[in-house]
Amino acid sequence: MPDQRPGPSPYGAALRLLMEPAPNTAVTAVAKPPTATAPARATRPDTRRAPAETMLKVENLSISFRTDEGLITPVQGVGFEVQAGRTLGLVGESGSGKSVTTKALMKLLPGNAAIAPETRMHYTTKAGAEVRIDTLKPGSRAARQLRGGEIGMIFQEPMASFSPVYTIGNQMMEAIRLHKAVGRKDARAIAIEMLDRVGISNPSGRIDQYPHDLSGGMRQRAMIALALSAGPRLLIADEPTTALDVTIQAQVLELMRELQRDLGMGMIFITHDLGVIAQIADEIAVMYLGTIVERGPTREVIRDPKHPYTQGLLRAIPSLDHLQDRLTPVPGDIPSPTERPKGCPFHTRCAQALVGTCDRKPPEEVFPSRGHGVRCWLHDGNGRSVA
Amino acid sequence: MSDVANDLLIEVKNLEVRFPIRLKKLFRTELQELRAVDGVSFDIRRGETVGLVGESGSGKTTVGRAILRAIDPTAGEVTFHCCDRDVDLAELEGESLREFRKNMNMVFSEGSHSLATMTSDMLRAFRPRMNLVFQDPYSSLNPRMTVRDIIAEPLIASGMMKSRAKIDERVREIAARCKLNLEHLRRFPHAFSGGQRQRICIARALVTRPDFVVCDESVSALDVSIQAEIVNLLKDLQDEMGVAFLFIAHDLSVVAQMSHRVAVMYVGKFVEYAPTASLFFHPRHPYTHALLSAVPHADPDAAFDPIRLVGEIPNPLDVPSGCRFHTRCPFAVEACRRETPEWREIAADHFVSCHRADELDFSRPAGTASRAETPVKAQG
Repeated sequence: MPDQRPGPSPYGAALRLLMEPAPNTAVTAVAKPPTATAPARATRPDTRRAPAETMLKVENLSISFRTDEGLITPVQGVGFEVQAGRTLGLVGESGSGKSVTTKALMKLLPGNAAIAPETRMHYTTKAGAEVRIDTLKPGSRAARQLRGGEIGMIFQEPMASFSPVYTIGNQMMEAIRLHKAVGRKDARAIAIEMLDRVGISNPSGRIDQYPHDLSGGMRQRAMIALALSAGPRLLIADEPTTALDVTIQAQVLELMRELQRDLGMGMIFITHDLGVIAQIADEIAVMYLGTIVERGPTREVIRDPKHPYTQGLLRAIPSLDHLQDRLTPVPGDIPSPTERPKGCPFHTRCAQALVGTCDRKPPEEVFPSRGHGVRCWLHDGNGRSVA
Repeated sequence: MSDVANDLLIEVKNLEVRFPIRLKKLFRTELQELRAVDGVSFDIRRGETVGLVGESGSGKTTVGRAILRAIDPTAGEVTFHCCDRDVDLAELEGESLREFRKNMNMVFSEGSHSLATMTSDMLRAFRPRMNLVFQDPYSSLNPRMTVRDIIAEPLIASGMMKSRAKIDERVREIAARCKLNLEHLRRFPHAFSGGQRQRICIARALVTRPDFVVCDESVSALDVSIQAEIVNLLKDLQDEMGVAFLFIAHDLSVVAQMSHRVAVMYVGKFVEYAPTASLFFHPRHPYTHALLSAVPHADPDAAFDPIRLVGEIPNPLDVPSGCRFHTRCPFAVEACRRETPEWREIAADHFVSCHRADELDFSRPAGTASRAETPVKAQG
């Protein structure tokens, strides 16, 4: 557990650190503040077996937007952790607040958004300094260093996130030079190396091509190379494979797993495809209407889902083993964030909802087993099923 | 649903669609032909769902559009077995083509067309007898029309119904079947969620009681739960109305639930066409096998070992010789490079185009997540 820095201005030291050239192989732990933990990437250990070091800890994240229809709160009291070298899968339907949550981490929320004061987002940088993301100003130097340099992001639509008027290499070199004190030549070499790393053939030729010259799968690889070129410690992947064919999807998933293993990155993987999640995530957090209703180790959540919503989602996925089957949708529609139900947000669609309980008070998180948390009135304080 | 009447609705023979491509060279323009669909033959029976899968760029959408004559086929025949006579679609022109479109409808994917070109060129060319339903239910509904007007438009445009009362009645009937709230018919599309919008699109496609509807990636953009609802809805409507679907999708597990028969397409050609169970449990083509192996299971313990296909999908301007898949096929032998495999019926109703289909067996046991061991390694 990373300890909390007591001072009111936690990012003075962090800022200094962040402004230094990001260490390429990270052996530098020079101006390390005394309270910080050791840098994770010093020796590039097999982080999967090493004791997991928490790099990101989000507590009580609530985000609200001022709109014409009043204040809406698409994210309410979300908490999760990301460990170095491990993947957190964020699952949920559209409108569940997955993307807004990650935008808050990147300080990319629009101007009418406000993060609640009780929110705490602790992030440990490459150099070991601790940053409170919630208190950073979006346009500040520290936030800009964090974005890209510390936390990289891959978007669903690679065509929309590359600029069509610059070559791939141009855009990669821009990112590299923003975060590392290297010249054009070195930046180009790093970019070529990254393209090669993600399995693009003939990287020194491809680097001068424009995004439209590449096929969908290649573009997504280039997107990954771009996100990785600044050497982030945490990678947020927002539906990175949703627009891809299954064969390419399988390749991209394998690539991401491999890169994570080699670089020891932490990863937040957003998707609504539970099949993908089962293959890539170490932990799952299931979101519904801006709340994490269930979280825990992937195997446990998928094998033994506790929340009726998770159970419903798992029943709804079509499988290759049952052909021409009737599917079982979760009944009802997801309510709009402006008319968030009172009590448990899922009670309007829940077949097991307890009248007088579920529609009154939102359930607290209980732990049926270690590390497996659920917010549901059907489980009591000890995590036993009450129904 | 299980007993599909055995009579033919659509027969496609050697369908070819080529697009001329102008390549600007230094002092001259080179004309090349892109063979988007290169000799495809199959049939669709009345009340049946045929799934069409393949990677992007394989020509799935083009097949769907060519059958509806939204794109003119370059060669080949598409025969539509209408109520009383057989019509060769490739020969139809002008008024009779429009007349004919009443019987068919299409649920389009966005594909490479922007909404702008779609509305100006395609809509004008085909008159509103064609109902366009895009993959993205957000961009395919006119925000200035009420739901009632959206669903009624094909009826008015095709001239099937003139009286307002009758149109209203028909719209309410189909809306009810598509499980839309009749109170909502006066609302505008912005008030609806993705799933409801897709139901509006389906109602619009079915309002003229077509025999045949092309669903092009109609559920791909939806969340799993809503996707399940729409799949169930399409199946129910098929049972009630006897409509046949060509269900184009890249998600194999959805296709497995929807379809009676499934075709797999690779660079403009069919490589396999078989009844669903046969194709999913006993695939005969290495490409089908590779596609199936790449579908991730929602089971953390299931072996996920996708077959790595070397290289990229070939450029349709420069199609490999012989079997098109030989450049990426782990089982390719010399014959695959030289000779184009013929399209043959290897088992009842099971068509495949592979030289080695007889020796390769990719069967996996039904009802389990495990996959068959990779057969004979023959790295070519």
